Amino acid sequence: MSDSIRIKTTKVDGGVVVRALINHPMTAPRMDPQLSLMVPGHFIEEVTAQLNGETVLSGDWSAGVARDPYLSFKIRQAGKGDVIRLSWVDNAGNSASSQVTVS
Amino acid sequence: MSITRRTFVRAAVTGAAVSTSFAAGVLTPRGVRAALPPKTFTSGAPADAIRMVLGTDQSVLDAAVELDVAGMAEMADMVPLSVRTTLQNVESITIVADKNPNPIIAHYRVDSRLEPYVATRVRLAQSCQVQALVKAGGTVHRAAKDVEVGIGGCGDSER
Repeated sequence: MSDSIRIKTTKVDGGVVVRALINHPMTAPRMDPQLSLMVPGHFIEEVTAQLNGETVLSGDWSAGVARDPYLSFKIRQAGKGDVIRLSWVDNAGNSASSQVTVS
Repeated sequence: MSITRRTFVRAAVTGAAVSTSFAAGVLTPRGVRAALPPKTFTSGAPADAIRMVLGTDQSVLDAAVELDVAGMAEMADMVPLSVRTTLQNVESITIVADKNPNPIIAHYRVDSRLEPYVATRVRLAQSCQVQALVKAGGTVHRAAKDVEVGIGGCGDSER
């Protein structure tokens, strides 16, 4: 599922801006009005960003993050040749990761 | 089965990738990771949820925290939002919508190599106050903004 993440990097003054799009339904847990049952929802719970193998950002998400999540952040003092890796784990145990090298 | 060069190379590469991922913490077993209690994201009261994530529900309104979100959101299930701050030694950035069924939308732990800035798109259940909480040097700094929503969202989860 590595194609579920698209990462774009832009070199800016003082670092690199990372923008990522993840394909994921991100459905919220909800009460089914007909069945009176909780439908659990399907959403990403953890997202991690690494710079050259070291974690620089780790996030916990709820279903309050919109479908097909967009995440952007800026890494200081990063530049050409640095490897940025993004990975996620959802509440169904699925996971994916993807990486780019800053050019 | 004979081992062709291709299968050998593939196995070696996969093995190496898996072990480096483990070393790098990507594939850390879920139990090992110091995760938030899952209750955090199912709790109803914003103050309780915030306390569970940040250890306190006390925060100071601070102009150094900048929450950028439109005051009127056309589509409640895709509201672009960003948080940035000029504060130093930022430990975490948390986004809270007080009327969402799970008030904590996202909680980011940031490293010192990261500029204290995150942008995400969020889903709002209904018009409410959105807060950005930045924990820096042991205190929680806050920015808040009222967001009016149009159509969409997950409003029927209120039932």
